[in-house]
Amino acid sequence: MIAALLSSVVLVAAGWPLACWFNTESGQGGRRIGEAYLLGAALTAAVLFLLSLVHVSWSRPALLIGLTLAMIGAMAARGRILAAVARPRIRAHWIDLLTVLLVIGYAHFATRAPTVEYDFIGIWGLKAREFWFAHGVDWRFLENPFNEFAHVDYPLLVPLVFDHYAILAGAWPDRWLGVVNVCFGIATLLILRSFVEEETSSWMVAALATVAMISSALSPWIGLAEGPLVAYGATGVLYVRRGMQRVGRERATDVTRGAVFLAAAAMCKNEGLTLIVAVAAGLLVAGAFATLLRLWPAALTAAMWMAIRSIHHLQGDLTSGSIGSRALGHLGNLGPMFEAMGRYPLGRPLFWGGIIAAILLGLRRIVQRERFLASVILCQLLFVLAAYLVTPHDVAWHVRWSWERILNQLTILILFLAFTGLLPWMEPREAPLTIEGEENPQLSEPPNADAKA
Amino acid sequence: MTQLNDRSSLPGRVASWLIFAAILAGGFEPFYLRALTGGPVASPAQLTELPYRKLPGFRRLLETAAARTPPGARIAIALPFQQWEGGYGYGYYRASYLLPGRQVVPLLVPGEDRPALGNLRQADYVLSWRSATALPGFVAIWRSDDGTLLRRIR
Repeated sequence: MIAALLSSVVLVAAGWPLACWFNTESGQGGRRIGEAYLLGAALTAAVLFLLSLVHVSWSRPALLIGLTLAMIGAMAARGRILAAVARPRIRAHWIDLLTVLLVIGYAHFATRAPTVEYDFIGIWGLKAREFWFAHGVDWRFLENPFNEFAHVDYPLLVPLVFDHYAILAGAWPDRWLGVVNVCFGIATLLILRSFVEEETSSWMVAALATVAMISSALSPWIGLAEGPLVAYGATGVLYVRRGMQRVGRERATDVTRGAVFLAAAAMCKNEGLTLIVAVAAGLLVAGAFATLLRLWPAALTAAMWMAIRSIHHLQGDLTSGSIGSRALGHLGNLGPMFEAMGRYPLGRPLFWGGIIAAILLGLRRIVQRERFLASVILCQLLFVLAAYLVTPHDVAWHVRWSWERILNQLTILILFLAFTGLLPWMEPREAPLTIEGEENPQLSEPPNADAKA
Repeated sequence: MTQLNDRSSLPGRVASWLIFAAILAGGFEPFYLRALTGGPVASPAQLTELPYRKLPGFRRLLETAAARTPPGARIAIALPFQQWEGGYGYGYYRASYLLPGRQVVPLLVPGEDRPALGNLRQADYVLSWRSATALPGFVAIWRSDDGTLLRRIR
C-alpha cells in the first residue's frame, strides 16, 4: 500500500508544475491537486511510451529521470510557477466530511482485493502486465491475432499508468492497483467541485453537489478506463465550456487547457476520441468557429495514436469487417437495441428524474447559455448509439454489458448541465446570474489575477 | 444585462431545492458507507477467486504454469468445452493475465465452435484443466487435481 501511495505522490509531484502553469486562479488548491494528478498520470504514460519508442528498457531510474526532465521542462516554460505554488488553499464545508467518509469507503472497496472485473483481467490489466513483463510496450503482443480479444486497438494511457505503479513498486501490485481508481476519482471530485463553485455563491450547495457527484466520479468498475476517461473528459469539456463564457486571451487559454485534457481522454478509450469530435461539434453549434483551432492538442494526439494504430494494424471489433452492412442491418431493425435498453435500465430513477426536472426548470438558461455543453452530451450519446449500430456482436448482449457503464462516462457532465439549470434558482435573490457573466465576478475575474497580485 | 429567469418566485426556489434534494438522495451511494462499517462482504481470498469461479482450480493451475514455463513460451489452453461461448472462451480470455510473457494459444477458432487443432503445432506447452490429457509429441511435466502441464518433446 505504501508503494502505491508513494507512486501516487510521485504523479502529483510530476504534474504539479504543469498544473500550476494551467491553473493560477486564487483559492483553487483542490483543483490544482486534482489536475496535478491527472497531468502527472498523462506525463508518466508519455514518458513510458517514449522510452519504448527509443528502445530504452523500463526501469525505476529511467522513469524517474524521464519524469524529472518533464517537470524541469514545464518549470522552464513557465518561470512564475514557484510564485503560484505558494498560494493554493482548499476551502471546505462541514458537509465535506460526508464526502471524505464516502471516499474512504470507496478506497476500502477498491483495494480490499485484486479487482474482480473481467475487463481488467482481459484488457486493461492484461496489457499493463504484459508491458511490465516486457519492460516496454510489447507491440508483438498487440499484433498477435491470438490476442485480439484484448481490444488491442484501445489507447494505452491506462495500462501505462498501471505500469507506473508496478515499476515504482518493483513488483506487480495486483491488489493495490485499485489506488489508481481512487486517485482518479478524488481528482475528478476536486476539479468538478471547483467548477461547481464557479456556478454558485453557496458553499453548502457546492458541498452538497459534490456529494451528488460521488456516484459518477468514483467509478465502481475498478481497474477499467472509465474512471480516468471521466476525469480527463469532464475536465476537458468543462474547461472548453468556461472558455466559451470568456473572451480574448482568457478564452483561448481555457480552450487550450481543455484540449490538453481531451487529448489525455482520447488516450484512455475510443470514447475519448469521439469526445473530441463531440466537443468540436459543440463549438460549431455554439457558433465558436474560430475556437475550433484551439483544439489542436487533442486533434494532434488523436491523429498520432490513429497513425500508430494503423502502422501496427491494430483493429477493434467495432471497426472490423463490413461496418456499413452491419449498420444498415441494425438500422432496419432498431427494436432489439431499444428493447435491451429498456430491459436493462440504468437504475436510480429518483436521480435521473431529478436531473430531467432540473433541466426542464432551467431549460431557458440551458438553451441560451449551455448550447455547447448540451450539444457535446447529445453528440457523444449519438456516438454511443452508433457503436451499437455497428457492433458485430448480438446487440442485446452488447447493450446489456456496456449500456450502464458507457452512460456513466457522461453522467457527470449531464449532472453538471442539470446544475447549471438548477443552481441559479437556488441563489440568494440579490445575486442573480446573467447571460454574459457581467455581474458574476467568478466569471469575469481574470484567471491569473491572483498570480498577478 | 439580461435576466434569464424570474428566480425571485418562491415556488421556483422551492421546486429547485426539492429537485436538488431528489438528485442528492437518488445519487447517494450508501454502499461506500457500508463498505466502511463492515457487513456481509466477501473475503479477499473469495474475491481473488471470483473471476475464475466457473473453472475451480484454474487460477491455481495458471499460476503453476507461469512458474514452470519460461518467458516467451507458447501455451495451448485445453478445456473440456466444445463451444467458445459455452466455456472455452471464459477460460481462454482469463489465461493470459496470469501467464505474463507467455503467448496463450487457443484450441478452438476464436469466437466460433470449431476446433483449431492446427494451432497445436505452434504450442510449446499444453495446459489442460481438470484432465490428464495424453498428446502425441508432448510429455506431462506436472500434474495435480487442477490439471496437467505438458511440454513438447524436442
